Amino acid sequence: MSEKIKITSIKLENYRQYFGTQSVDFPNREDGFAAIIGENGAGKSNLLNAVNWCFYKKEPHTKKNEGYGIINQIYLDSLENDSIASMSVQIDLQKGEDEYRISRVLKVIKTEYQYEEIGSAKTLKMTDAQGYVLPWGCEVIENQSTFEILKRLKHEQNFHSDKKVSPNILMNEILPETLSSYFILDGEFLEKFWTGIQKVKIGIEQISQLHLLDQTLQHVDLLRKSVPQLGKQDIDTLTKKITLNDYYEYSKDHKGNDSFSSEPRFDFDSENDENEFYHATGDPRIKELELDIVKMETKAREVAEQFGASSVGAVKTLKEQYDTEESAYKTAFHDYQQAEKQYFSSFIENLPLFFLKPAIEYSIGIVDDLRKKGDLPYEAKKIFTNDLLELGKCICQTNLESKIEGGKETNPSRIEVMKVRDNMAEDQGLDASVNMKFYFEEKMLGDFNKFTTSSFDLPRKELSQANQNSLQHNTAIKEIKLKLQNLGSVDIEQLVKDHDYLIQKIQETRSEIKDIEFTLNQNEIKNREYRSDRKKLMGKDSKAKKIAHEQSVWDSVSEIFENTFSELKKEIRDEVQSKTMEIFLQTMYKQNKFKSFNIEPDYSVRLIDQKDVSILGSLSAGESLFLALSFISAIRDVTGYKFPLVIDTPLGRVSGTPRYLLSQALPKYLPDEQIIFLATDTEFLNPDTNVHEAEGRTEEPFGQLLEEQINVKYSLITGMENNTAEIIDYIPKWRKDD
Amino acid sequence: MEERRLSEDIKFPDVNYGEDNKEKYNELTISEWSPFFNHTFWEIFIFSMSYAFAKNLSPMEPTGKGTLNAKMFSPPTRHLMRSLAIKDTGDISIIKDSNKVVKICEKYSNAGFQEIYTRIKNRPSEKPLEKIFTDMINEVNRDSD
Repeated sequence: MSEKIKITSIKLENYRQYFGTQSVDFPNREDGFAAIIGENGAGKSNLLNAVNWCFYKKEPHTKKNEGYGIINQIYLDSLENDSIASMSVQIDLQKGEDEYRISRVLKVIKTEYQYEEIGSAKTLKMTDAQGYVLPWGCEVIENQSTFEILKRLKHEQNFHSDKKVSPNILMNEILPETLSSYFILDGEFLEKFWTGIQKVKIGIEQISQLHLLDQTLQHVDLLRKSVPQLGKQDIDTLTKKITLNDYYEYSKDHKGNDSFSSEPRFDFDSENDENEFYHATGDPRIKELELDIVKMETKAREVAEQFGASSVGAVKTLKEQYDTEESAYKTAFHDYQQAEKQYFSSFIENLPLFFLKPAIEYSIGIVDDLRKKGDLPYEAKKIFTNDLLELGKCICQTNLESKIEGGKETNPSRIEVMKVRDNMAEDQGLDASVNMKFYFEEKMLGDFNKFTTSSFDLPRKELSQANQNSLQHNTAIKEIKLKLQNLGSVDIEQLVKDHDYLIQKIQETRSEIKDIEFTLNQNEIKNREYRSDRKKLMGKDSKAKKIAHEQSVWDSVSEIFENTFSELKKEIRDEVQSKTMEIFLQTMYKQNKFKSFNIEPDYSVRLIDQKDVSILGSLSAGESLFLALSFISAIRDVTGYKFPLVIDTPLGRVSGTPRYLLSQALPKYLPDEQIIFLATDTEFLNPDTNVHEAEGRTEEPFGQLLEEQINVKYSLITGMENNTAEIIDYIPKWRKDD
Repeated sequence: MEERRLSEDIKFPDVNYGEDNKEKYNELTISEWSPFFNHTFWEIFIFSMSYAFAKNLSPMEPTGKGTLNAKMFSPPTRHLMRSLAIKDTGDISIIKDSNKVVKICEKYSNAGFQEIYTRIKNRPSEKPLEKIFTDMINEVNRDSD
């Protein structure tokens, strides 16, 4: 197992977007790193898929390939109908002195294509009915599709097959499928490494083969607890009671099968979670609830990270301030709008008066003169004249009495006054000027200062004040927004909601665990009594006595196994945790920041800083990546597994200083092992645009920084856009410059 | 009093704000950038008229025929129109003929409107809208000094 393995070459033939035969050779570690460069979507992940498909007939990174065929489409198109299409992946390995050629071939009969019309577009109809995405109607030829592992010993010329061992068993010896994700690493695996405890548990138990011991232990425990029905009512009743409590503890139904609830697991992840629904009771349920608490805590931390700060409380306070200010701003803005409306209305109504003030004063002057003369208003003049005629005497004592003769007025004085009265009707229109005078005097001229103050100054002041008030609230909102943005706020309301939900869910889950633990405890107390009572009863019966003896033997065996398992687990855990910390600190520049790395008995992990605070959730992407790599390296180191490390998109979220430090640390990392990178040109070949001037470093590409310490052999994936991807040798620009 | 106002209303003619100005009047009353947003045509008419008088602008005959209903001009508004007509003619008897009063006011308003529209329309975006009116007051005060 400890023999070093290296990948010599990978050869693809018409696999997905790789057209024809494409191969790439890899150097030994002593000759440096290998880097396969390709843009996003170029086919890097499919290279990982190709390796996995070749080894295990599985493609775990197929998300992006939905709807696309496993056999290259251009190649298939070039074939006649009813001819045989052949696709294969071949990987050459070296293990110690021996070489292995692992190859998987898929053969398919090509039939006439069928098309689907979606709207105006006509697309090739595909199916995955036979386990592979292929054009509809193409048929897999099972007996010609092969998987073989050929071997060549040190002095042999040719590869040959070992007919005694099946290729699947041999493959499992070279690299078990359960462990493959610890060697063929994709970016997402590393990014989510610290989510949950499954990766840590599998890493430690499977790589160190502890899971085999665990299985044995479970079997012994079953034997220990299986007491048959003896036909003695009092003993059997106690056994039933004990069994029921055991069922509760192990979440089993009356037939001894796993019993599940209908509640789905929190954020179920098929890669990490063994079951989609919670166990109904007991330890399995507690275990799942605890696992999910870790998930909830991680999720809550992610939400907090989105706030940009660990303090959710600060964000909540800011949000409350924001809501208060926003409400105040709305009121202030409404007041401003009202003040503005008032301002314009007042100016539009009163400015004409102000503009026409000279004309108004002029007109009123004329009206006043006329009034002094008694010429205005007409109505008063008319009433006065009518009064004189009615009295029959003028103020100058002239007789105005009516003297009618022959139906006509004959008093000349009265006739004269009547004429004056009738002529006055022409001046009727002038009476409006009297109203005009009173109106203007009341409105403006009576107190002109008051008029200008109330018409112009006051609305202007009110508008200005309302504007200022509105601006103040608006500025306050902007400041809060800025603070929230600095805290990384996206949708604060939703984030706060999500965070509150998670915190409540964690509390509820913890409380449920306590309840189950209490029940388990009670059951255990009762079971102890039941067992003691049963033991006494069994001691009185010869048949039962024999079974009781067997039970005590299994108890002892179980105890020995449990202690051994527990010690072994602790030993490996301790070793892995100290090795992880050692590697992590070698590569980390902020060494003083971290105090210890602890793997708890339940495989939960804590990274503690100098202030004794657990900071796993708040690590940067670069730190998290490095801790995951350090852990994987520690496991390999402790357990002696020596398979090459293939890392897809290693720098996806790492930039700036962490990227620089990674370039300095990686060449020293796992010095004896082959490392192959699948990276984008942005990650490896382009200058780092996130280098801060103050850091005093150049913006050299990651690959160039690596090459200051170690050779890198580059290959480039091209031509992916036409389904004719090729893998070619590549020399980066900086080497051409040299 | 009420009867007399009614009799005056009957005599008061419809007012012509200028057929060519129609679209601009409309624009000023429906645009948020205008101080006359949500105001009425008669308010623009009176404002323009008084502005032209204050700025001593030469009266301009408007195009078309009267389209602003006489009923929209309240007694205080008519007082403004009369005072302008009296000052313009130097004769108070002008107010006995509402047709003549209105004709004089129409010419002033047409002259004033052209300048007001241009001022509003060409207002620099950085200048607050309300500044238009305070500027007018300052100008008129300066002119009268």
